[in-house]
Amino acid sequence: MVHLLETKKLTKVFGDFTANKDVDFWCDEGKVTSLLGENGAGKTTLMNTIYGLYQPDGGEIVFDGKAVHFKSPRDAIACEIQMVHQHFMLIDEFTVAENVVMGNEPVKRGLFHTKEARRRVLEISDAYHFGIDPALRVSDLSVGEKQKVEIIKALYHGARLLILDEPTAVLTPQETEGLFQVIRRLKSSGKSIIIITHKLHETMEIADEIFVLRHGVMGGHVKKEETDPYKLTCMMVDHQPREFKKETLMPGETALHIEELDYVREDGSKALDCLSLDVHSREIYGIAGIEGNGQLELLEVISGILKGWTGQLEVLGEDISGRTTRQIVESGAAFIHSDRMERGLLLGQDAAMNAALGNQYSDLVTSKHKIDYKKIDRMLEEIFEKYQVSPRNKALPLKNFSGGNQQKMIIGREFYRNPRLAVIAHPTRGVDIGVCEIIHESILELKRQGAAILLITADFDELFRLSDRIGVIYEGHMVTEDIAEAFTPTKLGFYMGGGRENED
Amino acid sequence: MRIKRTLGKLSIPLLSILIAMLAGSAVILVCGYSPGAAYSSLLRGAFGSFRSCMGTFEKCVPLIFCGLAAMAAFKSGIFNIGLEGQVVVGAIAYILTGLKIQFLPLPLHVLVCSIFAMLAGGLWAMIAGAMKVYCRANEVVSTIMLNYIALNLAEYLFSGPFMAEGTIPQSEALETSKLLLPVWEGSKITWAFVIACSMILFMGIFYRYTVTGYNMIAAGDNYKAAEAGGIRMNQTRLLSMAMSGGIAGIAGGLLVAATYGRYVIGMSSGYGFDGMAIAVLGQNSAAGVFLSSILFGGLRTGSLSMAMFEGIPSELVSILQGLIILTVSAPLLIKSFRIKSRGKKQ
Repeated sequence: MVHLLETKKLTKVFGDFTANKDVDFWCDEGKVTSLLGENGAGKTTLMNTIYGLYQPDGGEIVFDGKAVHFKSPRDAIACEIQMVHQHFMLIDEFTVAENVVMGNEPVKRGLFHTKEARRRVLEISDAYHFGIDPALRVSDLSVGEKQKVEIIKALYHGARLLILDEPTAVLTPQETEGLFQVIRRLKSSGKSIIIITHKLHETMEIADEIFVLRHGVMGGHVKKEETDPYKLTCMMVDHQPREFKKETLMPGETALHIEELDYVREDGSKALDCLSLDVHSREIYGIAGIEGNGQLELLEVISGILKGWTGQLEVLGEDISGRTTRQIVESGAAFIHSDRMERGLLLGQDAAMNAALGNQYSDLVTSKHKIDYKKIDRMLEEIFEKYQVSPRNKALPLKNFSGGNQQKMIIGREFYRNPRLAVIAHPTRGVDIGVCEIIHESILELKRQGAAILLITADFDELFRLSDRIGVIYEGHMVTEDIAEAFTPTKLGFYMGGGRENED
Repeated sequence: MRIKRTLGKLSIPLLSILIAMLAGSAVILVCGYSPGAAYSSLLRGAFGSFRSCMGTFEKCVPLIFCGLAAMAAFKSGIFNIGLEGQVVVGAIAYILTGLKIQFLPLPLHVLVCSIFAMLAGGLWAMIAGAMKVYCRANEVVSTIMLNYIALNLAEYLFSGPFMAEGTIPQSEALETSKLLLPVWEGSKITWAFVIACSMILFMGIFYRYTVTGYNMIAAGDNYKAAEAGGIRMNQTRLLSMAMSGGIAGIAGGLLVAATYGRYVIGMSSGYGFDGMAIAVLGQNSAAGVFLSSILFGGLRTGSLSMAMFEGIPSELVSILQGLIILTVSAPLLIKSFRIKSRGKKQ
């Protein structure tokens, strides 16, 4: 049988770095093909090459039985290959219909024909049950709806093959389910779909054929029926994943006490609304919630960056109102902010300077109030070793480290001072499975050492894997909290979307 | 490893100087002179003899201070365009205190006057610093405005209440015994040069070994990360601004003490802006500021001999300086140049 699309020994090189090496990949008509791999495995590069954004350095691409040489996405689109990128390419000020038809607008007497545009978009929306009103402005849509608009756009311009790059990365579980229904309908109408992802359970749910990329090389191909998440993980990473056991320890004294905390943003909107929670030592408290529901402000309030909050806030037994970040850190707290580029790193400075940040007042990196580079060197060696940072170059500016290694540097630096309270936001965002394991292990180790940990994350796997207790935050308010075992992903999703207990 | 890194750091300034000289040749040619003759007389005038080297070292004292002052602000991410004004205010403070306390012996006299010069420059800069921190005023705008105020203040003072007898707008002169004299008889290297060199050393150590210096660098690299690391941004910014202005103030003071012996209207013109150029060319490091100051000092002395012996207007040197700054401040230009040449090798 001839495949709809096939790559033969496809190779793509960037400078010294081989992103794809001799990759054989194919997908069939009317099937969902999943391309699985860790971050940096070369998934997006492969798809971008197929889509004509990159020119291959070796091998060939066969589409519909003919060898093709796409000079740009324009050529790919002419063959009805469409790609939906991770970052949406929509114009917020335009309506759904206007966004969709852009580039091929219906015209009446030389002018844009709004009615016809809406009719055509509605036709597609209805055919696949998207449920999107073409007259809405894109700025008023949720993330999930925007993604649907992207898919409608692809269909409008003609798509036999639809490539989705990490489509679920930004979606809630409910939205993900909606997306999967759309994909199933597309499939039954004969469309072919390629999904790039690193999420195992989603692959298992939606894919027919699964390809695994590992360090730019094709690690294998399996049919969905012949595999399971564990086997897939083994294909994705070089080593066997360790079975992870969560140990529940006896929680100790209260390390973080928050009571009726309110914080109003500069624009007058409420970020934190009567929020209360307690975290004890030897306990990981996970906060679930859709981003933008006050998690960011919560972290910045606890760490003393944001002032002007009201309520009660005690860190390690001390009231922190009026205290500076330095005082809070010196009392034994550590903070890992959600955006490592923004709040975590001095990107232009070397590893030594970055390791010192936050520790510069303590004798971990100073002797007699002078920066002691020998101490920093020893600290870096320990961090490099423990977290397997590469490259082990103390003089390299942090901007030249990969995301995973940057994150390991931050975690290493913050945990180095053995904090008794750690507030951690999105510790493994955008890092691959190997790094993820190292980070999770270090968080659990910190807990075993007796620290209290407040974990803010959007990743369900991480949340369930680490948390002893879970609280759900919605519009700055704690909607519900319970032991982790009491939650299922569906239940969490329900609360995260603003559901209340009595509606259950 | 370390040597390689240093070479890497040097490559951008050196390449930009080279590119600037090439572009400068074109300008010299267009003006009808020979680039070869111009550059060789420039070089001879700046470093050709013991005497000319002395002249270069003399010229670079205020440049070193202004370079360090600009660096102090740049390091923590502040653009202190007000160096000109801070130099002026420092010089005013130096001469006014100096005239009052001529009874003090030389070392003490210089020390006290310098402290006043430093305080004046620092406080002047802190006006802009406080406006930035507390009112979110853009320091670029406020420091430029403060420059005008300082310059006009000097003009008023020394053509009005404190004007010396005569027709030239200038202050009374300090007694000769209160001036910073050459280190040894017949040389032009004054004690001011020694002070400048110790200042270079001090700044190098300050940024490498003190927590405050570390905080300033962190604040300059990423203020949000610095904030999360317990650094108080308002304090750090104010302090950097005060340091920057204080050092600029000393530059003004030493101009009085070592070069002019009094305040002469217009004597410090251009030093502040040269200081910023020097800090940029010196890649914001103390050692880099030292080397670039010598280069700029050399250009200043060399331009005189170029004008004298070749009849080439010394303004061409300003053009050359401008070209160096243009190329240095476009590091991507240099990088692409390097990548291309590397590509050709392969």
